[in-house]
Amino acid sequence: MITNEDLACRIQQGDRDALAALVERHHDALMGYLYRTTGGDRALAQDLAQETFLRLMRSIKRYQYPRPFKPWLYAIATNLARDHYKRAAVRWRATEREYDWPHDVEDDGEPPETLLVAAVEARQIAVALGRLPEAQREVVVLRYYQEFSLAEISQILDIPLGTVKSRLSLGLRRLREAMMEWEQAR
Amino acid sequence: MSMRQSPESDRLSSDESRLKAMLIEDLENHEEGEAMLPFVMQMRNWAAPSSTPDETRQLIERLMLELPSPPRAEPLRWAWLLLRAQVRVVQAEIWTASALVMALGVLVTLTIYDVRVGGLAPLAVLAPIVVAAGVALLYDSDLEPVLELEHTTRVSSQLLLLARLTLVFGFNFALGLAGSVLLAAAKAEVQLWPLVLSWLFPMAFLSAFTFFLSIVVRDSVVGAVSGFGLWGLHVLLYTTAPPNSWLQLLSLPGLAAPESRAWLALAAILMTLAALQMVEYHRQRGSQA
Repeated sequence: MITNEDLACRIQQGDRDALAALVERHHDALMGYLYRTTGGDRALAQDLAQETFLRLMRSIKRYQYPRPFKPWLYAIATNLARDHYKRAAVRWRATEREYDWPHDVEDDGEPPETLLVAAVEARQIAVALGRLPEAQREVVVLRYYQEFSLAEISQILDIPLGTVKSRLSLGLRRLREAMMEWEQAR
Repeated sequence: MSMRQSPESDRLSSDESRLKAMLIEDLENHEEGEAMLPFVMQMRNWAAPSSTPDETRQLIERLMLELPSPPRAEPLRWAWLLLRAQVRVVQAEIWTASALVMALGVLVTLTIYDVRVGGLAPLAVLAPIVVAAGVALLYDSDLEPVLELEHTTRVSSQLLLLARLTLVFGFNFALGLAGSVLLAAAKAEVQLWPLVLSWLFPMAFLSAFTFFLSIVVRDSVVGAVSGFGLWGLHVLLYTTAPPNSWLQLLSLPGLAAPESRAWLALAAILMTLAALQMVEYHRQRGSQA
């Protein structure tokens, strides 16, 4: 399979097929990342994913082979998500908004009660993630949903490896506490 | 009794071992990593929505507008690529026919031509005709739709025709030069440059003439026949006594004369430019129609 880096080089040469292949390869995953870091807002995640690709295209000429492409793409997305919250002076609002459960729970013919339980659980995870500081939420999502390596996360967020690890450790502990509180309250 | 695991449970188990390894690496503690595993597995149940095929297609279409233009090749490389592409477009028979007639010219010159007798060498007689015939076939009204189609590309119809003209002329020039070198090597009395110049200027003039005419009348046959007629008449009157001053005038008496070479070259350039201009005129008229 052609690598992301090769596709990026081909896009620099104006290759339309390479652009289509790259978008098809990353669109879903990038939307997933933005969806989880923005509190489960599908429309916002979709807008930010589109803006990420647009920014990528506008700076594609500066791409230098063989710089890893994927961390670069996610760095753009992370910065856009941060800018969005700074600019709009909004906060992660999963607790306040109506839960958009049909987007989050796949209906595989499960009974409605099972789907409801899954939706409630998903919401609780979203809320718990939302309560994390932004810096911890980013590393947790990048690591446990997007499955980036620690070195890649360090590149994406431009922070030392040790900081990645400490944010992960703190973030996980806080998330576990939040989930346990919820389990006890249930 | 051993139980066969389903693909789903295989996937879960593989997810679990991968996550476990990640947690141990991240927390640098085996026990803590294991303790955190069920919670992280539960966390991953929060599925994200997928983009629809329409959303992805629309995004790709939007991004296409931002796609960088393909880099332009260096001028020399670009010219080379253009010429190479046109080789396939020029009718294949032109190459074979040109090579055969040129070979015949060299053979005849080698066997019967005597420099001491004077007159045009058979190679100098045949070379202009060969090129004129090939060049006349480059443009025909039948080709106009093709050129119209090509006009939608980045290269203009005029440039495409000029590339083809260069190819046919260049190919025959190379053949003539090779033949002349061979003759100069084989016959001591034949001098290379006087021989080359004796066919080069008439060849340039005659090819420009037939090219121009075939475009003006939009018929390659008329262009080729006129070129052959002019050259035939000239050669005939060059080797025989002029019976009629009108005929002599019509045959362009200086066509093979060394003192006319500058004028022949100038006329060839002007006719080629006029012909290319005419192509654009035809194209615009065709578009209006």
